Amino acid sequence: MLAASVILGRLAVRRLSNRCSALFATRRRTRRPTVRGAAPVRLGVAAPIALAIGLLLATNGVLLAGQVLHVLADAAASAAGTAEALFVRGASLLLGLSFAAVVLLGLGTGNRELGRAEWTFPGLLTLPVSRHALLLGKVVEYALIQPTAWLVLLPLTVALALRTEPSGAALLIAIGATLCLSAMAGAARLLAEVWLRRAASAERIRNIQGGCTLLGVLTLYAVSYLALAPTKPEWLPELLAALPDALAWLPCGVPVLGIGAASHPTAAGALVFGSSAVVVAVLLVATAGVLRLGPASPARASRCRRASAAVAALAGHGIVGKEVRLLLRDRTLMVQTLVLPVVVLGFQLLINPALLTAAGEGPQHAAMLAFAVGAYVVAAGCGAVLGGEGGALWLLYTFPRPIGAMLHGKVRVWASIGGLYAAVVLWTAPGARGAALPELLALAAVVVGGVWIHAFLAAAIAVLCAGRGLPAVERRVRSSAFVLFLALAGLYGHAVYAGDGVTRFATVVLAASCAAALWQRVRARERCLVDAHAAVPRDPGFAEGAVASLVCFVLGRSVAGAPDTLVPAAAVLAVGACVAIGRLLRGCAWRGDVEAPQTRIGWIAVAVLVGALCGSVTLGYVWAVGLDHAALAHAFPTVPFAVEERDVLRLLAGVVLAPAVFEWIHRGMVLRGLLALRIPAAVPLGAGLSMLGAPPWLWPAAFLQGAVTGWVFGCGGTAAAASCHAASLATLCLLAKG
Amino acid sequence: MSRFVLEICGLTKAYGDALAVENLDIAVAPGEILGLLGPNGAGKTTTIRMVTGLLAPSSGSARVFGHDCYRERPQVMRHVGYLPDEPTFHDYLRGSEVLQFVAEMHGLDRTSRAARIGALVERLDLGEALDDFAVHYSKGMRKRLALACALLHGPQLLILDEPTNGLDPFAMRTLYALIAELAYDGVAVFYSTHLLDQAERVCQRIAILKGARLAAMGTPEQLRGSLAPGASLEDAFFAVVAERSASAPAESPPGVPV
Repeated sequence: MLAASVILGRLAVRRLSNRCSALFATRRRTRRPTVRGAAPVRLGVAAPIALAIGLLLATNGVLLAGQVLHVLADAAASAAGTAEALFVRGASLLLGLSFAAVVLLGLGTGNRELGRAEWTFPGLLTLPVSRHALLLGKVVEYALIQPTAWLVLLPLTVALALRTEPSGAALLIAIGATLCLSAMAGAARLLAEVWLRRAASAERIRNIQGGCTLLGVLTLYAVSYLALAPTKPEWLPELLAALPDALAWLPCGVPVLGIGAASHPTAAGALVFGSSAVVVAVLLVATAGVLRLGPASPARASRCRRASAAVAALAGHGIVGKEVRLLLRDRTLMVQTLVLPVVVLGFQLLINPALLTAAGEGPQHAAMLAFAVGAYVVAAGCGAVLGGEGGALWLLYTFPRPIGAMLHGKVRVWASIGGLYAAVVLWTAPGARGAALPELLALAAVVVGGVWIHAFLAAAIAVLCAGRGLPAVERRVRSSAFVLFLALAGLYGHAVYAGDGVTRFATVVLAASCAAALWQRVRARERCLVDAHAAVPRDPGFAEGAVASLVCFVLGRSVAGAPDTLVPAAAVLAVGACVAIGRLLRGCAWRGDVEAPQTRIGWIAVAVLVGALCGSVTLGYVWAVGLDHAALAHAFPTVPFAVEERDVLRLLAGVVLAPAVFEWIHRGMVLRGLLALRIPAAVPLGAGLSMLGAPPWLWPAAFLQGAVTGWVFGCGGTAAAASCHAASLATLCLLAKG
Repeated sequence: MSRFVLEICGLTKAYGDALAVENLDIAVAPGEILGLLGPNGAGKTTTIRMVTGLLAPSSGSARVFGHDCYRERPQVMRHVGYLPDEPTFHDYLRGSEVLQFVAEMHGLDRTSRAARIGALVERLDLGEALDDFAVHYSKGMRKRLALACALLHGPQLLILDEPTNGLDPFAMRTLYALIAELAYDGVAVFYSTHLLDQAERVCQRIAILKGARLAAMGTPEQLRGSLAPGASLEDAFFAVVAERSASAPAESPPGVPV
């Protein structure tokens, strides 16, 4: 029995490690354009980023748990009775609530197969191993790989242990206690799963799973509220005094007593381990009893024709109708996409009333709140735009329509829902009510448009990041994809908070170009989605260029707007953010072979001459419209126009390096992509995108410069384009001196 | 315009260094039922998945009415009905809704949709289960529903991957009759199976795959006759599969093991 449990436990650890490597791995790009095998998998930059995020979450969790215990200790001290006893009761209650949240979330989100025919657990029962050994093995698996157990319970036990034993041993004690709690949670979850599987229909199981997710999140929020509440809850001392002593002797309270008795580590350890073992044994016996009642297969749902007719009437036709039907019937999906955004928003407002005050102070804060809610909805909905098809993806391939067009229909559904949520939040936010109508309409357009743009961004990132050719259950989106989406959605805040309409317009256009570029990549690769070995089409890197231009635009503006003393730090942060987003995009966006840019050295001399001419024309334009050096310096902040500012370093940075980077992005990636995709009027379009970074009064000259540089790029490559731009700036710098 | 519905020319699929299908040449004419036979791992399902545009060929091509199956999948699927080996459906769609959805996606108008769905439901005996969620159907029911989906738009090429898996004898008899009727009406059928007696009963021509290559092709009579007088198709199959080297070139004329 023990051997079988160990084997299953090892299998669980192997599954966990495989899942981690699948989530954080990037595929090595190869240069072979035709037949090739599975690209070797390696851990990319996403792994350290995920590790850093995990450490950050863990530290944050421990700090939060410490704060919760601090509030609890204060309340226990002010309540009538022995402070320590009250504290133990309160901590037991907290641990019990956290335990319940772990079980509920494990049931709700930890087992997608539970409500489906293909649940793998019954298959294990055919192995020549005793039921108890199999059940124990499953409990070991759940104890080890339930992420919520470790994310929720470990910080609490660490904070408890640090309170008693502020040394390195606290971590070991906490890990031991968490393992015991996690095993009990795993056993409780297994019993619930087996019972549900016997007692409920598949649809009801999915509905119950949705309810469990919601309850679990609310329970977690209730625990966190103690630490995050703006004022100390005055009802807490009374509650602690009213709690019975026996609470500390319940299975979830014993670890609190055990951790508190650190002066007798052996006895405390035996107490915690023994009580957990008894609880696990009782739960396992109960589970085995349920299994003995019969096979664990979900019952058929009773037919509810009225509800079915109502859903059918609401749903509509085609792919949109199918998506709406699934959403209305699948309560798990409904909770995750439609209910949780409201719950999260409500909790944020509860713990941070300043948010409500801020949203009431100005329409921009309200708009940002609305955009955040809409972005959350589309991230949850569009993230499953491909994986949600499950094993039925083959059916889409039998239709005489492009896969991209069908996915487009699904994204439109989610974008409409997200847009509706955002509009409702903006409409009801107090800050928006006092705003002038034109401003409110502009903000509404930015917010709803942003939600639509980010629906396509989320869907494109999710499709590109889903494991190709894997079975449906394995088709998970990598966590780095979610981080990338959050980063891009965060940049869109620039459009909401921009003081002028031009910056707002530019940000929206650049974000839309990112979505269009990534969506184009999805369309180009739609044929490879189910074939992990298909050669990925050659790719011009348009998506990378579009994202780079958005990132540079927003971060450049942010650095320029920072106070003088903070500019160096802001610049370092901005460069770091650029690198991180670039690496995440490279890991996520499924880039194929990229054509090397053509470079013709002979064209560099011509490019310099053309650039000098462009610089002269720009200067003539500046004078013609009656502007002076100050406007010029504002338009080209990196160019040292004043003689006293001109040193070699500044000239190199402003006249050589900056235009080289600019041209690498706008011509080397964006224009090359547009040309390779045979987009009509690619050169003017590229020039239009590159001029958005300039002030509006300079747009005609910037457009001309972009168009000429685009022509130079087509003839001589990126180096020629960079030389043209550099020569233009140098001419401007020299002539503007006079 | 080619006289064949399906033309497979030099079709090859490689997974890394391993070849799943190598240099396959097959053509199927209108009204013809071509059986694809072979042991496990011979490349039958991979071939079918390339013909339906699910997998990209490493080299060579498969064409339906001149359209490349991978690059022009939408045009190809107007003419193709596909029944996979293990069809799975969406979690929360009832059988009737699946049929409705498929008909809508094929662009059938309301009248022809109702007529075709009604006819297929009756023919394939799906009526009782139409109000249940399709994901809970038995394997045989799922096959019947998937077959109905494959036939809804009146395809000119029907691709069947192990179609009788999970079907009861009554449903199998219905399927055989349906295939014969479709072939009579000019529909080409590309039929993959493990079962030799089924292939002999249903197919007009048989292609035997071995080790990713075409090992033999011809009518059942030709295949039997190529071995010895009085030999069964089973004898011929085992002779081809067991004795022929995987490296033998696939250049012999139809009807003779290559």
